[in-house]
Amino acid sequence: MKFLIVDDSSTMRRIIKNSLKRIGFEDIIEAGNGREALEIFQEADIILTDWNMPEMDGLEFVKNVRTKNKAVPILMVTTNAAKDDIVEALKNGVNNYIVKPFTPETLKEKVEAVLR
Amino acid sequence: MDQMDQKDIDALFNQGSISEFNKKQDELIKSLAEKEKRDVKKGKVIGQLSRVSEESEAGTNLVMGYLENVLTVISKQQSFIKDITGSYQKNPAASEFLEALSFMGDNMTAIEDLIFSAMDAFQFQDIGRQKLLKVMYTLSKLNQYLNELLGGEESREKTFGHQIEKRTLEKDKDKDRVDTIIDTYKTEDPEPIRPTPPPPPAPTSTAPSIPKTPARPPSSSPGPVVDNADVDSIIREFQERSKGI
Repeated sequence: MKFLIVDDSSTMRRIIKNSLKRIGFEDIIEAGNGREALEIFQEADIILTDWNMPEMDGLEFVKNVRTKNKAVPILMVTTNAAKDDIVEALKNGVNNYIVKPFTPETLKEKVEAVLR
Repeated sequence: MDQMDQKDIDALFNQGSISEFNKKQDELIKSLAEKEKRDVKKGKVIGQLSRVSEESEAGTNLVMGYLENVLTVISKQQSFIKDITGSYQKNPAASEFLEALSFMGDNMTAIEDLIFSAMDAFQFQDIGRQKLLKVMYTLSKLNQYLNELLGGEESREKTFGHQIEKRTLEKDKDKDRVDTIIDTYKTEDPEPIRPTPPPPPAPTSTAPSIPKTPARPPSSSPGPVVDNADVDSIIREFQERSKGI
């Protein structure tokens, strides 16, 4: 199971990566924004993306992915916590949503939920 | 057996030595100094906020790197304990030793949990960074709005900045003198002042009085008000005085 983590914060990528490794997922690739992620997302079995990023934000990235791949599970991991944001993300093809800050347990639950 | 020898341990902790830590800190400071030069172009406040954000991210990554090294050591130790435990499992004389190993293993797991919790807590850095980005965005919009409202930044600086910084503030030192001049105007005869006609010597009480013109309010009048007819005589007076020095 290969994970793609998309976040412009290297700190956050590292935190997510460590949490995933801890729950047994070792195969992880990374991208710093939506544009970079578009080049490699085909390799991934599941995508975890931030919303607010330079060059191409997470929502735009999700829209792009969905034009090419309807099946790959996508988890949005973001500080945007407004209800409208969550609804908008879901409308555009996000499968589940995590608000930062999050616990490793939450990450585990959400990952398991989208992989079911 | 996934056992660490001294070389492995040294290699892992070498990155955590004080000298290595200082070296990395120096590298970080140098790179931040370079960014500081670059950020000047962004504007002082936004550039500084940008650097705060980058500094905090770089510092967080440095600490996380060390914590990951500690996790690697713990993982190796756990593996070592597991192997040793396996080797002595069937030895009835080693029960106390096995108990001690189990205790050590539990402690290692507890330390590992704490380190993971510490690493998770670094999410504050990203959340803080995003808040700073919002502040920077707002400042940038405010700057844009003020530029539209007041004119270009450069012309504004030329028009007001130098006056405020280099003139008005300096003149504040002479406030008493200014007040005296204002008081003089208030009590002076409203007759117009005329320049002293040439030739020198410099005007004294014996020199002919300068014809006066109506004075403007002191706030907009740095000196006596003259008309073009007076200008030539003032210039001549100045030239004559200069020759005399």
